[in-house]
Amino acid sequence: MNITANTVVRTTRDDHMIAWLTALAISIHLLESALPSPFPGFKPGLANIVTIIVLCQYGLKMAIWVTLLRVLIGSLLLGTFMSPTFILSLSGAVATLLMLTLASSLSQVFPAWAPGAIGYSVMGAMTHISVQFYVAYSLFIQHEALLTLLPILATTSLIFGAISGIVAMAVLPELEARR
Amino acid sequence: MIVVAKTFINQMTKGDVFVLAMALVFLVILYVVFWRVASHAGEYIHIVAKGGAVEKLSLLQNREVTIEGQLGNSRLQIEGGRVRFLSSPCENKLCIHQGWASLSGELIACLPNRISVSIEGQNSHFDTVNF
Repeated sequence: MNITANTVVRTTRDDHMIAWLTALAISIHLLESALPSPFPGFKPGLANIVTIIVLCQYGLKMAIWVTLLRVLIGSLLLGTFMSPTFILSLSGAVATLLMLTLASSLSQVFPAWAPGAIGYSVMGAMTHISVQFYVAYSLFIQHEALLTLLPILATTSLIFGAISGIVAMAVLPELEARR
Repeated sequence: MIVVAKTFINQMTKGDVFVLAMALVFLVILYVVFWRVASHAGEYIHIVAKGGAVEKLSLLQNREVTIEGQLGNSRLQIEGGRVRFLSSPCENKLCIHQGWASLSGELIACLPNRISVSIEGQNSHFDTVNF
């Protein structure tokens, strides 16, 4: 293909959808970064509501696009690109997406056990905190005292994962109705 | 409110319940493993002071030690397997207000006077920690 000044880049409906949803996820991501944190390492992760909604409504491929773009663009806007924050954010996102990929392929094999929004959300949150903590511990701060934080972080992760899942459960039927 | 909660619970699948149950089991394991390991009593203290000088003292022996720091002398008290700052020439006295420390992995420090005291025990895996 010759790229000339007249070449029109064709975008699909999916591309538009990804762009809109990513924009929404980035907005939540930015708003959330302005919230004060009660203790280090704590963040509610409400932008993941978008990931879960996209996963349930539009499928895994879209969810992967939206999440990775959000992490990348969010870090560029916040000025954390390639910083430890970004590495933590990316490793958590990649691990979560792998987990969601595994879970959604498993649920095709065992449809009776397929999780819904809250299941995916809690699973994602727990994977996110475990992997992020492991990366933080092994790359940045190898101090044993840090390990005592893990149970607390995992507890808040479970709570906010469940809240995100409940929000997604509330939003999904509305989306379905407007399709 | 109750009606809303009920509709959510009805919408949950068998898979959701399974994931939530697994998450709870995972949490319990984390608390058992990390809160028990981390709360081991310390056995000795590492004192790092001015110029990087390191001193290693047992926590089992009751005594008072004087350490020379950047600003002057700080006094540490070791008693009953615990350690605390008794006095320090710093302004804010945060080191004294930290009180007693006794568990492996705990750390008390007087930053203005450049003295840090970390407690170590059998479960210390690291020789040094860099920040």
